[in-house]
Amino acid sequence: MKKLYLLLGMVLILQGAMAQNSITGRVTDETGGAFPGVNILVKGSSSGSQTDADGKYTIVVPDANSTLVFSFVGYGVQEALVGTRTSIDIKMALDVQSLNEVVVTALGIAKESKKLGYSATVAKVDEMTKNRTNNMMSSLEGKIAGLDISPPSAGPGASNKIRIRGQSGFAGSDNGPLLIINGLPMSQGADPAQDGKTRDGGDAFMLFNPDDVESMTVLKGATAAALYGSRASNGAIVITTKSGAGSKGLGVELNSNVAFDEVLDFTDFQYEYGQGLGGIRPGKGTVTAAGSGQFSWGERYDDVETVQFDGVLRPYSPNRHYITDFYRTGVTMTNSVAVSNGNENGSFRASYSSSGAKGIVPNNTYDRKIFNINANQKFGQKLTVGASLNYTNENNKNRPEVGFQSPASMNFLLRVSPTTPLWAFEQNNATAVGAEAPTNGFGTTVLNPYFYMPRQFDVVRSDRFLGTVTTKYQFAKWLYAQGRVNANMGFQNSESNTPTGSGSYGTGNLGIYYNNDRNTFNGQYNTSQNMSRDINLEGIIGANHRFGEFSVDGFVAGNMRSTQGRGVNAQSNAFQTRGLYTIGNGTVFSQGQSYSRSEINSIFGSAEFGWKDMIYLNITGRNDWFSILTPGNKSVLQGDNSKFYPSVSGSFIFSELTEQELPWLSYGKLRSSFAVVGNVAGIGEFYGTIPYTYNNQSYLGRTVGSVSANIPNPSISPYNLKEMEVGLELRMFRNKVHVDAAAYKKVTTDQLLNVNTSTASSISSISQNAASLQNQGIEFLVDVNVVNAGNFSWNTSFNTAYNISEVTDLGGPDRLQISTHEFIGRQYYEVGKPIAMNGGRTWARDAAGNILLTDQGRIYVAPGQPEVLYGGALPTFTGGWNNTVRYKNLSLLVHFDYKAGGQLISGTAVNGLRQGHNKASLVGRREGENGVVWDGVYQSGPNAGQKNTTAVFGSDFYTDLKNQNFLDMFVYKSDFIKLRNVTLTYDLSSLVGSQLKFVKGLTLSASCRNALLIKKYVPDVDPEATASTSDQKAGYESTSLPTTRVWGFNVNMKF
Amino acid sequence: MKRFNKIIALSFALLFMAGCDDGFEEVNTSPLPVLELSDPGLLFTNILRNTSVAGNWMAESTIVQQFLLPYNTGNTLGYQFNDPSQNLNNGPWGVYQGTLRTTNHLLGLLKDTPRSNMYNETRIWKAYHFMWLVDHYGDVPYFEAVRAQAPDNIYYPKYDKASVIYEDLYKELKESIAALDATKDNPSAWDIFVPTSTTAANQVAFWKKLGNSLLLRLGMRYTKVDPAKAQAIVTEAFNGGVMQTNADNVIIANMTTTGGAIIGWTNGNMGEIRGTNPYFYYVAKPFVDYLKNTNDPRSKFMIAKYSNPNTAPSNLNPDVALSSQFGFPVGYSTITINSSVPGFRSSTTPPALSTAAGVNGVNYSQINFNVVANQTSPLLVITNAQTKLLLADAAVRGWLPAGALTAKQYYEQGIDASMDEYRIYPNVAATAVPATSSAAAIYAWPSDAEKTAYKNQASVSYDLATNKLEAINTQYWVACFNNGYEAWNNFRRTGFPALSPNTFNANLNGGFIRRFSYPIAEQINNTANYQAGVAGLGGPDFLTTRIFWDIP
Repeated sequence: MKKLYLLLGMVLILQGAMAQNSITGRVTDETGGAFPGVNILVKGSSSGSQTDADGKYTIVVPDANSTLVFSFVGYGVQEALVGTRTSIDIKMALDVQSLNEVVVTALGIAKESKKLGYSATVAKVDEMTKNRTNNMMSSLEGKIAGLDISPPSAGPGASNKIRIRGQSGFAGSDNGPLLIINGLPMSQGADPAQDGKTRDGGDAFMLFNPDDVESMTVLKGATAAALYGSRASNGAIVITTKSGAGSKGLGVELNSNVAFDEVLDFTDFQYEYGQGLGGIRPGKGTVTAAGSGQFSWGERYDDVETVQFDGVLRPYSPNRHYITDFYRTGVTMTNSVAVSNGNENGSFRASYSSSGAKGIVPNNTYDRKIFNINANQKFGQKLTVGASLNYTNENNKNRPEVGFQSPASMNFLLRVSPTTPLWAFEQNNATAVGAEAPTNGFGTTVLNPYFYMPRQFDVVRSDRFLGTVTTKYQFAKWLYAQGRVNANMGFQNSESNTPTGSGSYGTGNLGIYYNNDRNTFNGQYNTSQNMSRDINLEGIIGANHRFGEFSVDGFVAGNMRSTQGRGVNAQSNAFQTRGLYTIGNGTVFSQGQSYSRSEINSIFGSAEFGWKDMIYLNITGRNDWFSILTPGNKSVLQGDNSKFYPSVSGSFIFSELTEQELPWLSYGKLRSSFAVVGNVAGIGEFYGTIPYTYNNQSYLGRTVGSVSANIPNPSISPYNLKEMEVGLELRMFRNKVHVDAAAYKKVTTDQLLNVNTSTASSISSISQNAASLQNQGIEFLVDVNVVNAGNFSWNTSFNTAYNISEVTDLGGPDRLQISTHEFIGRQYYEVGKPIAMNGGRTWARDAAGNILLTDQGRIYVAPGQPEVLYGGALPTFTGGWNNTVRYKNLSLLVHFDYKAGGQLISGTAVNGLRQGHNKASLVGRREGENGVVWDGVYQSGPNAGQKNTTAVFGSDFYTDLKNQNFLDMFVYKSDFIKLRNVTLTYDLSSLVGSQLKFVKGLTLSASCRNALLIKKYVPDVDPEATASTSDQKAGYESTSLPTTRVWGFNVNMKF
Repeated sequence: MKRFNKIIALSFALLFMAGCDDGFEEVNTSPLPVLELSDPGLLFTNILRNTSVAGNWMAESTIVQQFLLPYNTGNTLGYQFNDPSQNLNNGPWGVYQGTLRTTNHLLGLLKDTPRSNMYNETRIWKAYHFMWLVDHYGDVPYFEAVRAQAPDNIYYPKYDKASVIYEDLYKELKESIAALDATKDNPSAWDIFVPTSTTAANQVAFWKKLGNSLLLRLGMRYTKVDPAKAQAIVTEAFNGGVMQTNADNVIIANMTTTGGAIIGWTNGNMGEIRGTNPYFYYVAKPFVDYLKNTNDPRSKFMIAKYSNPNTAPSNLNPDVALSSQFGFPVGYSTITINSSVPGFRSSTTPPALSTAAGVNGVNYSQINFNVVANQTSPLLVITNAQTKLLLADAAVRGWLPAGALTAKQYYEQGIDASMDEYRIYPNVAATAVPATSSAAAIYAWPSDAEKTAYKNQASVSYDLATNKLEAINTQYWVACFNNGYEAWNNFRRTGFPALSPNTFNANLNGGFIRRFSYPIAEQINNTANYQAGVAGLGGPDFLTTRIFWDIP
């Protein structure tokens, strides 16, 4: 640090000493009018000035060799050597390049944005590297209109839920965007915690180091991604990695980042009443300490020595900081180095990045190493070869368990009464025989993490290779051919155990730590090895030509995709030696083998027509043939294994016509598009097979066989998605204001749905192309360069998107249950309603609207009382407000984001209430109260119709709500406004650059993510504290990790 | 360079090749799955092993007041609170997707093949499981049920009248029993009820007795609704030849012949009460009182008092003295029970709270986890004891043909048979052995003298009984301690034993649970048929609505 100050000081002194000549002048715009606000800098220094309202300026230059640099956003940079002049006038010209921004589109094809008839938004990559997140997409939350990102609170190696323009298909189909990395298409592949799988397995965005990313384009609509046919339904995110292109000579870039995850505790529980049941503390009556640990239905805290779960007497008083005491501050260190070199014939860049994260859960670490190479070389004038390789090694240890009761640490911390200090749970976690000591009456579902975590392991080691080789041969200026092969290979090894003696109280055979009959210890060990391979071969022949005012650009192409996966897994139980979790130490085994294989062949093409650089029309088509579908002509059953996906889009740059009439309009474009795409996900390989299986263990010497419950539907096919989009893009007032608006409607039909059947038919559901869904919405972006005054600039950018979905067909029934919350409530689809509705029972009411209660003052469930829908789980509004303020070399980014219009079912609220932990549970048990006297009328009995006066003990009353799925008290708006990110960056490049020749750039930044939760509606938790990125679990809150505030520090150096 | 040119050449080739779907069928065929069974018998073993027998301790056994879960702990809210619990209501329905699905598949494999004995035995077992469904719910899908497979593709089966189903079950049993033929195949290699080495003749003889005993059970179900029909079917069954000895019992073993555990197979009915908070579960007072009143020598196999209710399953030597046993009073939870309740037993001397596992809870008897509630204890599907007691009941009503024994003889033989059943339970032997620290206590099976003393005492004696049917059917209740389903059936059929309704809340209007409510999924997914099914019940889809053979 000291050296840095010294350096700064020296630079300042040098500048002061050399000040000499004064230059004046006037700057005009392309029409010759005065141009205020133009920045003027002396090249290689930090001294600058700005034009005034008349376009005039004055600046001091050190000597005649100085060069002045004139710049204004959207205009070409102009330089002028001072020489002997004292007055320099400049006429600025619009920068065609910046208006015709080049965007990387499908297949990695770079196009001028004016030609695009659809929405494609370029992400600001530099913000991603400064405000770094383990999964780089997390940092884009709230930055791009229509890109809805929900990071789960499930540890550093977790996936994101990414939905572009809403959820295209029903839960269960792949609704994540397609990821295209240097032309290699791959699924996002989110592997969320759900349905008893308690750990999040990450997604494909974990494979990249943001330092390697050159550009990232979000192709929002179906048309933008239409060339990917059956993989295009959810939009695409196109990433190009840095290739060293444009660099002159050897360059080295170093980046170091450290981030601290501060655990946030949003709980505001009651600390008035302690552990116990029925208003009695442990040790009194039949209430025992180990049996009532999950309930705070005891007496008022009074510090009197009271027995606890381990039989020890401790003061009956609350412990308020379970969450912050249990979890630690997470730390992530990331270091990366990149070497690049290039000249006009080729370029090369290699980078290595290593990151290590210590998660907030004390035994969780996530280590990742990424190696990336890109090379491009021209051979002669016609042949270009490019290759890129990305290798990622991940080692994810003890991924936190979330979204499911048993071993999830948060489940314990939120559900045991805070009467016992955490250190007591830690010290006395085991019984004399080494089984888990009972801490509460929910024995097998609320486990003591202090017993569990030290004895438990879960390790996933993964290696992923992504490789692409592209060769392009330019036969003539107008004709080229390109061949590309890309491969995506993954290897994964995982191991995990269930420790001996956990959660069982060392009793029942289900959880007995020791089996007398067989002299073995319980527990389980699992290991698996998996390999996957996804190869694409692609060939393109393309041509373009200009005929006067007309231009044509087109290609035809073919693609062969083949995928394969293999895996073996083995499990052992009933161990001979205690504490040794291996296959060899087990006495009971099971094992499995998996295999999958598929091919898709495709032909596709595109033709683009332009007229006068003003009107563009683009038509594409793709036909896919699927190996997993039943061919139409080869089977007695109706089926079709071929699908055609067309698209058409156009753009009209109307500002070409209005230059004279509307001089303030620098650029105006109207765009419109229509596409049909699909999604084949949801139809598995070998779908039609009805296999037999044999039980692992024979029974009395007899092999027991089973037949698969699969009832295949031979005529199923991928769903279709039709999307229409119109958009308007304006740049006004010399590009100071940029507005982009889009409206779209997409209709998904023939969705594969597991239509529920009567279980009396022998199956619970059957796959059918039965359902339809539509999403429509608008997206809006306004970006304003509010101030741009030499040393000071302020850019503000607001984006927002509104998306509303509607289920239009469920293949017959009006309502479909999608999933069940672990504690209360369900997710439903209902025709005419948005997707993912929260549902449950509501209070039974009389005609006057009074809540009906039984004659005992408890909740009344009318016979056959149906569940009602409360509202949609998904937000309808998403967006953010981004501000970048720069003063000299210091810049500050302040980013707010919000989501609104969604609802969540809070498991924390359910358990907090029925178990007596939250503040709401205080009603009815304060001085002079004997229980909850609910506001309602008696439904039956002698006082039917009269106002309820019966007091019911709180736990009894609220437990009924949970058991009968009464949701009224547990559904909350999930809306929030957050100060998402504050980043302070100090760019020392210009200071060190002139002094230390070998240093080309030095940037320091500090950031704070999740700085402030400004507005929320749900008590005791962060509305974003959800455990799963699965669509099935949308709107469910329970047993996720606490959210964190991340403090990050970044140093970037370029040589 | 050459390699790059190759890639280009390949890419061009692709342009012409792509679009072709040659070889896709092969690509889409997995080499892994087993598509043909070595023998359909593998599925036969499956359906027999996975027979639905006793139901759930928290459901059927609780309705007939043998068992209780007095802890209101949220998820485990059970029938003792008389609330319609989805978990419990859904339980018996599971056979549609489980055993019956496999059964129908197996019937498809066997139909019109030389394996006629296996085919007809499978039909008998299908009838058993549909009886199970009707007895629980009343009208259920039958003729259209379990036919999702092509070519039927029936996903929403109609409900059939319970009485009509019973008619068809009667026909099925009659036909399939008659079709059993010792000259045909011998499926004993797959039949877990008989030894693998048995002959076709023995195997067929076993299944004929099994089938007729099931027919007897079916006939007796008509007792109240159609006595004439009951008598006719009972006569047919009797003439056809029902079970004679305990060797004829239909047993699903969970123990090897040498007394060891069978790896991978345990008594599934015991998992929950052993594994999840054992201190939640107690034996109900009416049952314990009856055992005490009759000084029942079977008591030690069934119930026990544990010093620590929560570690009960690992206590190898609990107190089984009859005088130490107390049942939990029906109609109370651990919260509502207090000293004003008759039979209240407070934990005045709880196990020392200083031992961490010391969850003392309430001070009542639990199931003997070493014997009846062991993971290796057998499941008894249809027994000689049940059959004898049903015959005793039929004899009292005068329904048995000439040549039958007297009601008293059947009654006493039934009691003896029930006592002898315990010989096949774990930790039971001819001679009692006290437990050492690592081994379980071994309980002696009842001696002939004990049996005689039991039968002759006033509270049991047939001759002294004022109501013969009550004596017989109360014994049926005791004999079915580990089969709540059958205990409940017989209670509904006869009204015995005389029990007082559980009045924990008003849900049952002072009555008993007469049926299970349909799974809520049926209401949602098979709405029209469900509604027709409810209409056929003659009452709402409540726990209190009676099924066709259960009339007041």
